[in-house]
Amino acid sequence: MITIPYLTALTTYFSYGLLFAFGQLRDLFRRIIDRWNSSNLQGYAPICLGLEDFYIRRLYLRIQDCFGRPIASAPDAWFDVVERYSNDHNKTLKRTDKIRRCLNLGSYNYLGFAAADEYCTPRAIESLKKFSASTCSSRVDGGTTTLHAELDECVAKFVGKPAALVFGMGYVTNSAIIPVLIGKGGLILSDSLNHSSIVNGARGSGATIRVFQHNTPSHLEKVLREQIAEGQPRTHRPWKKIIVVVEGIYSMEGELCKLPEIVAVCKKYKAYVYLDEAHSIGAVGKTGRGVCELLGVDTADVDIMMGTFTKSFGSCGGYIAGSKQLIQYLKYTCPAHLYGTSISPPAAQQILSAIKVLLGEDGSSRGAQKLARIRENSNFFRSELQKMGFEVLGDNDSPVMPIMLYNPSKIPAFSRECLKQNVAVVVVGFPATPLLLSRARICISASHTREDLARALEVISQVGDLVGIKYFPAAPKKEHQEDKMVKLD
Amino acid sequence: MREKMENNLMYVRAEPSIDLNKNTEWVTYPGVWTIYIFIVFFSWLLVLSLLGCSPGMAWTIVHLSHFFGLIGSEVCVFVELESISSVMGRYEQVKPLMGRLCALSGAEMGYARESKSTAMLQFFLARKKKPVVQEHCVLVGIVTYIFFHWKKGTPFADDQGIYNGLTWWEQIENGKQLTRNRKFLTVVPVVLYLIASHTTDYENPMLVLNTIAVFVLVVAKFPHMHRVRIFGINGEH
Repeated sequence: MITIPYLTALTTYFSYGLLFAFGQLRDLFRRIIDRWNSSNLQGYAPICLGLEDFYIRRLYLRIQDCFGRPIASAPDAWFDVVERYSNDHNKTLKRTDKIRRCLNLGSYNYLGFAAADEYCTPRAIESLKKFSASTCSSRVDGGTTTLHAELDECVAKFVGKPAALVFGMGYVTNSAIIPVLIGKGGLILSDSLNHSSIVNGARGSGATIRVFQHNTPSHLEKVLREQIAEGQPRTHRPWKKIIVVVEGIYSMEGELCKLPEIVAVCKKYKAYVYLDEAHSIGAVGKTGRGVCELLGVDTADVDIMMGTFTKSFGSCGGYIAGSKQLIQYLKYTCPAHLYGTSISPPAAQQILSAIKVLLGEDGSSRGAQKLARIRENSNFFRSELQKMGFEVLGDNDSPVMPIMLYNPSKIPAFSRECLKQNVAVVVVGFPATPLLLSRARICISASHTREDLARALEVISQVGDLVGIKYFPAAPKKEHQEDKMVKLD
Repeated sequence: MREKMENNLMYVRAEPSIDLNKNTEWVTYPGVWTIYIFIVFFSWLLVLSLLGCSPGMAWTIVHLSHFFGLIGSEVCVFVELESISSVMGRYEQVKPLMGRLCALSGAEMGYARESKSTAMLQFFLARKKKPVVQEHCVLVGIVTYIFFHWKKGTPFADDQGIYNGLTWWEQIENGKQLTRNRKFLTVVPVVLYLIASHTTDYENPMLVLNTIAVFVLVVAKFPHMHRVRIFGINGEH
């Protein structure tokens, strides 16, 4: 539940209204001026219909320099950001040759595998020499190497399911699997804040989609009961299949899913559970096995577990884990497996080595250290930010922490001021988030040291004062009293 | 301490809504009604300060614009140009320009609105012998009519055009009729009508226009008018 000061809500609406009004005014003048210069495209249909691109042209392009910043090094704790300039008020941006060394608070680098690692990188280079950069074929044709077979088994064992299947791209894993699992006559119940890959897959499947309130098992139960009682639309026949899709950690909120309650509801009504662990696999849980381990849910209760390797393993690609029959079925039907290129061999080797490091099979305890460090870092950073008076979302132990900005003008202000002080943050606004609730999303990594975090806190505090986002009163400091006591001696 | 602050009235809770349409899901958040009333009041002050007309005139302008939402914001330009021209006495120069704008916007919309718009314009011009114009009602009316009942679709392309045939009014709260938000938004033009007609002392030209305006606006918001396009105006291409 997000708490907004009432005045901030009003000023945010007013700012959006003003931006919208100015955008419409500029569009009006553009239309008038374009009438004067007639174009020779009579009879052609317009590329964009009506208002479709209004948001991009009039709101996004004004602050384009805060998004899509090119980087010139690996996304480690510190990285190089390329500076850009614009001569026409951000409509086009040109790169310069200058780079800035910035603290990276935006990459999904939860365990620090994004940079060169002493165990993973030599092995990835070796597999690059042995298997080359791409398999140049889909899994069924000639794209299954020994690495792929080993990776499938390794992922299944790591996640705790009988079998798994790995794909070359994370987004495609969701959007190609869901249409194969369910079709017309089925029901998909999806959390209101699910990722767009799930929404795409659900729309592509042809099943009926119903949305339940974010992370609210009671509302899920209510919707389930209603839908089971009504049956399919118009014919009212019973549903062929019901799948409930939830995510492990919601990337925009930093919240953990209420998995035990949701699994209990699904068991009661005999619905399948599809868990998308894109952000939680490898990052939470005592041994990094994700949300099921953290919340104590038996993996046999979750029917289909999906995840990606982009965030914690420093690679690319996605996986699906489930029963042997499910994976066998997917191998026959899923287009991503039959037609899509299989995952690149060095990427596969990186995942294998990363999992080995996590489990301690490389002979060192670096995996356990990384997991402990990310937990400590996240909890420390979150509690410090909250003490300073920021509104930070997310549960404890979650490495994703959004800081609420609300006002659309604070989005570029926060981003640019932080960049001036060499801290790179990711800011998100409408329509990726609800209208009022724009935020700056911080992703903590195991490779951030205490000094890095202290510097980040200092910069964010200064910028927060400048931009005015400390919506809560700061907690009083206790150290001053102790100093005084020492001096009295 | 945070709990104490939250109990204070100055903080409100924003519950995430189930509405998938990002264009309209914000109407369930706190503060929307207040800001709508505030923007109406603010535009009244703007009109009053920019044009120096009487308060009653300003309210009529605010209200009328609810109705005169003929062909998009071009009408704003008409009115502004017209008022400026009549004030500065260069009536004749501006008239052909506005005639052309009428024709252009009529052609753009693809309907035979040209004749209707020029007729409206003649009526408007004929009436305007005094330099003061009732811009406020015109402004707010134009704005709300266009954005609630004329412009269709959403300002971003993420939803792949699902709502392209629906106006904003038809999109809010997934098309559910007679919710609290809809009732509130229906009452606002009526209240504006009362204020406008009271402050102009029910004088004749303004009263007729105000009445037509409130009639059009309130009828457009009836549940029976959901997805109804009279004579195919503003319908699908």
